[in-house]
Amino acid sequence: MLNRKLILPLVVILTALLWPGHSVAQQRVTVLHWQHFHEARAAALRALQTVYQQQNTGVAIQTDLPPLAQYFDKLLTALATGSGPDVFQVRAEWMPILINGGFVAGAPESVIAEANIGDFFPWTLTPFRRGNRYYGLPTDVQHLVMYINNPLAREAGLDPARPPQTWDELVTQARRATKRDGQGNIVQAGLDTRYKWAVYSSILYQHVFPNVVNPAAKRAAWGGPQGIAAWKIVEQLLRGPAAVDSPRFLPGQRKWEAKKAVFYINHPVNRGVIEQLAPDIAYTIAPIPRTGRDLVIPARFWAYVVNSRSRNQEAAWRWVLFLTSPVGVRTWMKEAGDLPWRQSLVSYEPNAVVRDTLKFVRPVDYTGNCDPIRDNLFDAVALTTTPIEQLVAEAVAKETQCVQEALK
Amino acid sequence: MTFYRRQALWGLAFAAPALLLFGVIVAYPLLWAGWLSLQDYSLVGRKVFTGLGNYARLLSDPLFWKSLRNSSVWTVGVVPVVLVISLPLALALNLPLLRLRAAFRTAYFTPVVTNVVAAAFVWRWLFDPQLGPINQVLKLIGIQGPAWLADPRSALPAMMIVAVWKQIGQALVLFLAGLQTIPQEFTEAAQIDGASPGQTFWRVTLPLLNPTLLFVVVILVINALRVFTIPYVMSAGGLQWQTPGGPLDSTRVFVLHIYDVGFVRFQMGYASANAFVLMALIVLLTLIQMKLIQRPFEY
Repeated sequence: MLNRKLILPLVVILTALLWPGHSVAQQRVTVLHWQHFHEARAAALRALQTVYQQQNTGVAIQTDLPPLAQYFDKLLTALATGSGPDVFQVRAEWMPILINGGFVAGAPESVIAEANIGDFFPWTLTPFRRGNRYYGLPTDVQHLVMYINNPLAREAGLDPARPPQTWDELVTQARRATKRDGQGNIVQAGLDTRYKWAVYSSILYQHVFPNVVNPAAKRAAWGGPQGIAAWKIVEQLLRGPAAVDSPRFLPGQRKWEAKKAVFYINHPVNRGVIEQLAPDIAYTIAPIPRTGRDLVIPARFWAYVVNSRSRNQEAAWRWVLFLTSPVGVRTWMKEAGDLPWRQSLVSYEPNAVVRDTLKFVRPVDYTGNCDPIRDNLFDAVALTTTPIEQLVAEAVAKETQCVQEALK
Repeated sequence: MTFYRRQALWGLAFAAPALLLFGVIVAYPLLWAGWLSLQDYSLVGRKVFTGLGNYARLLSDPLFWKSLRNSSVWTVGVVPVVLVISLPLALALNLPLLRLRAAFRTAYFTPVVTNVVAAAFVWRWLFDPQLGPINQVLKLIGIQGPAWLADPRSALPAMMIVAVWKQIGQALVLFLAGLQTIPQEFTEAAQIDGASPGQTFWRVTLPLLNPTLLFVVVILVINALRVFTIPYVMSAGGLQWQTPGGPLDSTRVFVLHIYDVGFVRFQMGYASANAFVLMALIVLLTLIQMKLIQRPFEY
């Protein structure tokens, strides 16, 4: 039985604790932030979160970093049901859908004024602009570079300081570096093709002009001779007894980081992953190979956007502003190996190749969520003997249908 | 108010929480999905009523047919194998002379309680074409193992092996429970009449096990048609940059297809139509199984 003398003090204490005006905790604004998990970028985000919360004691940043494979399921379901985080990260190519659907809030003018918008690479802002309003700011700006495992390259008689300049040279060098066992199974890949997108996009965007996907005509535009020529290079890399990698060799595993591959095309941010998973690899970063003409490097980037249903839009935009500020970008660069996506910070990029190749960037075209079609084509090149022309024609038809679905 | 009416009201009052829960968790989403299946609805777009358009589209969608074929192969491959392995095991474990029965039962049931995602990851490693223990063992006996998950021809069978491994324990325990409900007198009477062990099994035990058999078959078929986690994790789990249902859609089972349409391509209306076809298929197959297998009896 509760002592009656205790009831009054208890009521007073509980009232004091629960009274809104007296709660310090409730004066804090909580900004819920979602982005997909990435080993190196997660560490950078934590560092930025700590600094921001120290500088803004009234704001709590709550982060949720689901794995990439589940990220969009979670995010889009939340958005479709009218909930979701205050701030989230999306692929920049998705901005038209999100803006048209009213899912993202335009940035207040004060934020844009402070963002020093002219400092961003202009191509990183294009997807976010609608009239005079900006609906997001860029992050995770990534083009592609080629990683070379120095000891393995030397072992194959190659000089990492003289990387392959063209795709033909890459095919030749990768073939030299590929090792097989007695039964002909690959035991060391010349080129790690695990990140299929990086391989086929590098080749495709150097071959197909002016668009790989034509948004006005709502169709995939890589079905012609240029596209077929691009996929013939993939064929040289993956088909037949001289293939430099195979889906059957360490499927799904990080071959390059496991020292089982010599060349690897990936984003500069992969430096952060290497630092965490394979810090003992001595490697060289080289530009991706080119076709006959000038170097072209596909670039893909993400956006930080604010949910239009957020109750804390002002605070959310302030957080985005910080994440994409010069201080923020330098943290991304230092902690995660990100590219500088502000022009004023290019000189801070320590790697000359990463820095110098920025001028060859070609942003990727909007494709809806049709990457699996090209991924399947990549697998089909490796796993079947169907003529490339037929595979490309089938994939282009599927992608056109996919783009039309996405853009209708 | 009459006694019966009062009783009915009390009954309703007691059932209300369960009915409410059923309504919110089952009936409402089901009706909503039915309504969505008649719409052209992207997850981030507006809904446009299309009537039966999504259902008509199924007929000309090669991926629908491919996934239906894969699920059919899965069902036809997994269910009989689970039955053929688990029933004899249950009979063996039911023998009165068998020692360590509980230990065997626990061992066979362990895969059932093992987390399916973790198990699928381990199996993926076991099936690695070059480093995986399965192919290493095959190599020792002079057999060049297949590429398993990396080959469109062997990926689905590899995953079906995992499904069999995962479900044997469950079927076994159900069969064991069913066997233990059969009165001993029937088998004893058959033995006194001179029936051989085979005759006793086919003529006495199996017919009396019919309700359990029906239940196990129905559950296994439903599990087979609804399978998702094993093919998803084994084809694309973790940061592999692989396509779920790959390679080349060879493991794209029906629920994976629904997931892909709904949550990768965001076509929720079309995904709902696919889901309704699956539901209809399950209901139809269950009714057929009940018609073919069920043998009503009393004792």
